[in-house]
Amino acid sequence: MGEFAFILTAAGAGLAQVFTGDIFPMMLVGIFVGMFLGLVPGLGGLIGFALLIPFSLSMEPLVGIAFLLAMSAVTTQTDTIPAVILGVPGTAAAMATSLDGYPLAKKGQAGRALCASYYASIFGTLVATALFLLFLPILRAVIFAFGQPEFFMLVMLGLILAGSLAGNSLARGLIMAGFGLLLSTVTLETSTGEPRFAGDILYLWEGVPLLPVILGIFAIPEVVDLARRKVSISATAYDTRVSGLWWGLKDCIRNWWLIIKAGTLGTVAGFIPGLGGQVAEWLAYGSAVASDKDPSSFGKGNIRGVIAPEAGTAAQKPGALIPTITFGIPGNGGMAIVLGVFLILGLRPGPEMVTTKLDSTMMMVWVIVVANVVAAILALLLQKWLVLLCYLRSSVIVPLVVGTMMVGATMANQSFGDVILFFIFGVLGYVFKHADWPRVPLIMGLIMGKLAEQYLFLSTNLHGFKWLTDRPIVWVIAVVIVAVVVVPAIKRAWYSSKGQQGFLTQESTLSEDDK
Amino acid sequence: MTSSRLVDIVLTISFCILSILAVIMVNEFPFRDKLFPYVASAMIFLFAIVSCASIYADLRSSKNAAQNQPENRPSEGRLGDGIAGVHQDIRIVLRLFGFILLLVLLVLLIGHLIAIPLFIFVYMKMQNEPLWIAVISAGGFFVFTWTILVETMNVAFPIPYLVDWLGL
Amino acid sequence: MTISKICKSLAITAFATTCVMGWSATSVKAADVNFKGKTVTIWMPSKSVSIRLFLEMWAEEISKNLPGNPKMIVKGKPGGGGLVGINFLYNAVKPDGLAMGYAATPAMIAYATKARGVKFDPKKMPVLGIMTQNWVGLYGKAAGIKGPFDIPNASGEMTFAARTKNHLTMTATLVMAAAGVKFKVVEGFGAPPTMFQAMSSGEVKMAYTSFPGYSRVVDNLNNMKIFPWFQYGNIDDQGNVTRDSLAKDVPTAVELFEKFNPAGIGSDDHKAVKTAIRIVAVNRTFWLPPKTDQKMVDAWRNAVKIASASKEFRAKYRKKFGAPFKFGNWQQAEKTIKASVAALDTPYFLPGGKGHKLMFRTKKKGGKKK
Repeated sequence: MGEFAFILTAAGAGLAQVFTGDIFPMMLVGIFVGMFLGLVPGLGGLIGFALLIPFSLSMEPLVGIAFLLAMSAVTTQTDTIPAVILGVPGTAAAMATSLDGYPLAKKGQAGRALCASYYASIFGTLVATALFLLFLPILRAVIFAFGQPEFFMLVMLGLILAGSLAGNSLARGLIMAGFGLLLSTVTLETSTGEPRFAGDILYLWEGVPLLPVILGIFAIPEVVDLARRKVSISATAYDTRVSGLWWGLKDCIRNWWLIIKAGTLGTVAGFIPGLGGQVAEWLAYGSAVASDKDPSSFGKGNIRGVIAPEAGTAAQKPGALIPTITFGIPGNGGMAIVLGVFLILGLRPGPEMVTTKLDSTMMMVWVIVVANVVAAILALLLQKWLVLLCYLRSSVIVPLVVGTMMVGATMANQSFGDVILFFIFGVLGYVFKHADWPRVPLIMGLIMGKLAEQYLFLSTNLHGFKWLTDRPIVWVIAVVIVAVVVVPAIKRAWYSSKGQQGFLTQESTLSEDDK
Repeated sequence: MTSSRLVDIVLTISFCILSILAVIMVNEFPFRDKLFPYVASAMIFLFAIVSCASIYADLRSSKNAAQNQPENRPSEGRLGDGIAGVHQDIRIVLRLFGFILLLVLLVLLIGHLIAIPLFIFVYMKMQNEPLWIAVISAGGFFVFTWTILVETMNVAFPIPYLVDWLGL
Repeated sequence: MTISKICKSLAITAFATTCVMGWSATSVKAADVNFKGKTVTIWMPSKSVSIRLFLEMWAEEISKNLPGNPKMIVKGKPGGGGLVGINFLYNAVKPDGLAMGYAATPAMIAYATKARGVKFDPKKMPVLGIMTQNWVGLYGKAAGIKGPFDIPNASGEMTFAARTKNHLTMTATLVMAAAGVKFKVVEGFGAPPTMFQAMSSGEVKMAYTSFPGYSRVVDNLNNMKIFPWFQYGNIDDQGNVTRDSLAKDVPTAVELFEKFNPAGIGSDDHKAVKTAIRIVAVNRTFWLPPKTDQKMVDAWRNAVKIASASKEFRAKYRKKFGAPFKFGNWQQAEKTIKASVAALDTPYFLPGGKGHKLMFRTKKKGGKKK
């Protein structure tokens, strides 16, 4: 009891610190900057972050940290905006959201989808904060219970989920996931020092960059189709209820249990170092699909398909902060940068961050929560104007989107290779979209492939093949993976025995708006 | 055979070939470096076989059944036209990709800062947008890129080839 | 708009662009070395945030000592394991004094071993200076030892986490062999925090990190029961190795080798451990593009020397990065590079030699010759 009282006191002190005269204004600046970075695909995430860090170093340590965390926290809120309105995820963390968000925009419900995503983000961070307070005493045991084999299985789970949930055909989804994995193996970092699959193309020696691939594969098909049919994004007429302010809130309240589940999954995925936001997003999306009465409605504009990944991704941020500042082990790529800045600002990760300096830690967690709230309010104020983008003529929106995406793609390596790759994957993306080959698993494979390879190799190097038999957590995750693959197949076989569909294609389920 | 099925077959065979090529290309690497490409290639190959079996089964069932099969597997979303729809508009699609390819070549030659605003302006004018919209869009894009990315964030856009060739 | 009109606009735009680009890229004439009103670019072949921060800080200091105090900006040119940046500096950047860059250890090793993708020649580039860095080997609870000198009493195999084979794994292997302990390098890890996590969970027993990476988080590492067992230390021209002033309690790898295997002093393995210190001394070398005018080069070298020696700058660096700023001027740089390249040019490190197998990656079967 005494410990909980201490934790709650520290939580209160941390929250009070957020609203002090030093921290709050810089936090607001960080929020504005983060919102802008998240809005423009290519600038959000690590790139814009890294370029703006020098500004934080001229501030007092806690102020600088608040600025950075606020900036980082809201990029995953605003990256939802291009994902919903244009069908182009601003960062990889918005891919699942775009599956249902974009169809909603096409139905004239962009405002509803955006508002639901803002509220879900806020509630997700609150869930993460509550979990952090509850599980603080056993945090260390949780973080160090996982080894390379468990990391590998979690990464594969995220990949299989994306492969099975993001399309009409499991086989095609998994082929695309495999293709993504294969693309991720392009590298110079082999044990021989010889480039693998890259030949003498120096541009590819550090791997196929993610950004031009994501932007090319999602943006170009959408703009080409808009231009082809000379239509605006939304099919419906302009609606004065376009803001979706209360609609989105009601959706979140109605799905409160889903938010708690998604938030929990996101927080846990954040705790586990090295997994990143993508696994959190897909675990949350998967849980929404699995618990829905009508899974076939996902991918066609089910609001739960927006709420769950947004709550999961938002919860992952406070979750990832914890191993970063308590053990100096970054929870994800963004936290690796944040940790570097922490060290330069004089903050020392360690157990005192969850004991004597718990109030400072809680201040950081609250910064993420408050930043999401403020960003949501600002986004809601701009909502009407943002949603109007859905009603612009294609002749206006197409060249602007193409131009912005091309610049965004170049942020990867600041090289012409980015532009060429953007175009190549644009062409491929168009073919895949119209041929009903889901693109999301390809991106997931590309993102998770390097991690999966590292963990797989280390697992066999460290444990031989015993890791497949001697580790209980590995079995648990394996069972979940098998269930994800087998259960839908059994369902399909059952349906097809009732003569309702062909072999190995899901019965109008989970169709991605990716056609 | 529908155009969707044809594209499916082409893609499936292409992925099969890709996976085999990948295995051949990493064959000379030590175990550590070929393990994962083997795993990824095996995954592609296995599910490509499954997909082939699925296509074959669907073709057979559509042959045997006397009922009309849909001409095309429809794409999701409002356009909802799939490969057949694209086929109908193939010239328009190719022209659009041609524009984007031209933009790519322009960017390589004269750089992002000039090529993209130029593209925005020309495209809008070709679509008969009013001049002021075209000018504001192109100009606004240039101003945004220059002030925020180049001047503030010191983003180093690559040097265009024309500048390089002219030795400037 | 008709096609001909578009082509005409294009041609005019292209012409205008080239004029503008030409005008803005006016270089500083060598006769009057004065950077007033100019912008100097420092090309960074990495995406690392800490390196960017250091370069920006250092550039500000250098600018104070360049005539005319130019504006300094840092731009990224990552890729190819650092080769894209240095190749770019060598082949594409104009030698007008308005740009400098650096090559990190992997790029220099690639050059020394004639690896693929190397398109630069340091012999043709004026060097400005060299940054050196100390490294630290770490052990975790699972190692079951009480301290560095307890290593010979270790039971079981010592596993050492590493990204890939390099001078550090070679050093650790030779020291462990001297101690008579079974040892295995586990390649494939990512950044040091992933190694720390693996050490804390007991999956590996040992790892390494850079000295700044260690000194800033030493309390946290100790809390995770992770402690240092060796450091590289500093080596002088006579080949004497001393402990870093910030880690006086941590023995150097050479000390440990000599303690565990006194009979091995003077052997090839012993020399190799010292060679590793020379190699690691080439952490970052700073260059100007080839054919830069000598007056420009002199101005730069002077500015860099003064900036690096500045007490204020050194104090700021130490505060931000948790370790002393170790920098050798251009003469020291030339000496160090020469010594490192010469050290690698011995049978021990040439293909087929023991050191080569320990430090460098093995060729794939039937692969292209380097």
